[in-house]
Amino acid sequence: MGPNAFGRLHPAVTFGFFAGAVVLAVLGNHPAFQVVGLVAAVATYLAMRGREGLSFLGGLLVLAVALTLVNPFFIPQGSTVLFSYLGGRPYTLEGLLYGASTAVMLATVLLWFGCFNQVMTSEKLTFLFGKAAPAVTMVITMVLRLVPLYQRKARCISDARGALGLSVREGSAAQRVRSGARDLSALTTWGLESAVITADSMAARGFGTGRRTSFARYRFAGESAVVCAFLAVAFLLALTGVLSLGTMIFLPTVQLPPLDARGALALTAYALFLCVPLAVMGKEAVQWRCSLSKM
Amino acid sequence: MTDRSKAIALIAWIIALGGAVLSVLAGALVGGRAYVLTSVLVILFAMLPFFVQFERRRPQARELVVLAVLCALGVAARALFVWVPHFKPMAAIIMIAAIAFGRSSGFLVGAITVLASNFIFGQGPWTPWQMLAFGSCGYVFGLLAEWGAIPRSHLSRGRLIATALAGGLFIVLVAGPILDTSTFFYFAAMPTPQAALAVYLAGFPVNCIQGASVAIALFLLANPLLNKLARLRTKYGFLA
Repeated sequence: MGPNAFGRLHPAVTFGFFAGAVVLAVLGNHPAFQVVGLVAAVATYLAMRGREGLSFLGGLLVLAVALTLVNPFFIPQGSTVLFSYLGGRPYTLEGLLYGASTAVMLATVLLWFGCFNQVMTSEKLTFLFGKAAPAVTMVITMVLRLVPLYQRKARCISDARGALGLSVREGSAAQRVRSGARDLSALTTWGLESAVITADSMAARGFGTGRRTSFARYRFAGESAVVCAFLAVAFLLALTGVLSLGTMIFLPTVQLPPLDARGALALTAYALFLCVPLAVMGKEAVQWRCSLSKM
Repeated sequence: MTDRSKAIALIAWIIALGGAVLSVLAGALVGGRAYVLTSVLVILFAMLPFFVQFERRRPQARELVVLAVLCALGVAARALFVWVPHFKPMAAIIMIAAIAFGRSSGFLVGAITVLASNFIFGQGPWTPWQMLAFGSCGYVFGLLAEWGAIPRSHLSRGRLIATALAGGLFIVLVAGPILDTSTFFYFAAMPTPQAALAVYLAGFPVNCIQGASVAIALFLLANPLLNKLARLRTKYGFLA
């Protein structure tokens, strides 16, 4: 089960999913919503990354615990004092819970961005925004192609200068920085001159005379359309529920807004919304198994 | 600027301002942590006019390619200085590009450089804040050059040192604190003054190291790179 199945949907659908997931993760601060969000984010991230994802999760856990423990030092308004420090400043349970809630929100958002980076490749984003901002998209596309080229060229330049005894890897820090600056200067000359040649070649082939066409395999049909409609409905239900539920109050005492029928409906919609990537990936895994067993 | 592009710029600014005000109002209505989303929306609206003007100008191939080269140099420069710890010359290259090409190109180089480098190193909730911080580096140094405070090339020793110090100071006082503000918004449960003070104080030493490295990079790189860009301008006559 890889990120492929979800990534094969139309980029607008995938992008919309991540945007919706992040917005709901930030706005919904009822604990039930937060738990659902975090569990879905962890499950999706692990489904996409496999074992490699565990180290990122470990890092997030450390960050979340640190945030939870540090935040009460800046929130003295809570009513349940756990202990006091520095001549009577209180460290309160409410502050701790407020910190935990923030930490969960941040962890959820970072996990969704982790999934985003797995699925939304640069070529999908340039496909999405290429029509609205063709020039900026063009520049970004060129930068992404030039960076590896320059890194290779930079290595060539610094190897050649290293052979002359002017290596960036030896000498004092000042010498290294000065040597690096010389390398960069050489790289700049080469890069700018070849840029002009590239630009003239582009102009000679008719760049800027008409609309740029692009090759894209994405079609907004079938599965993408169904998933998109489902996501839109679930998002709207969840969002109206989150907004009508009201925000949770932590200070001076924790007040949980009661989860009425409407809130429960919104929570269900939120859970279904977040399950979409897992469902899409799961469906493909099942289909793959079935096709194997028929052979 | 022609009348048409002036009108477009005006419309873009009105949309940006209106959008920013609306997102602040919506954030205030929703309450809770909505200010986190509001801040990002306001930043995106603030950057909108620069991108609209750039697109509307229908830039030629040469302009696009040179812009891409400057952005790519900023990202690739990291590879050249991996042997020197804490030395990241990206902001310095953005400032130099801005001095050579003015404030709007400077802003674009700053914003696009971080956007593109995040495609390689990973996008996150910090992306809009970084675009704002590095874009403002480009905007301010482009503006200083347009005012004539910094010459476009062949800086004298005194001007070079002043530019390097200004670059370092700008990182410590403006660009660094912008990034610290994003830390503050994402990490603090409640935006209290004490929490803000703690975040900015914790960020200060890091910003000082970054500022020093930008000052050194500007001191070493400004003249060689600016002279090259000036030569390119005279040789091919573009992006004046």
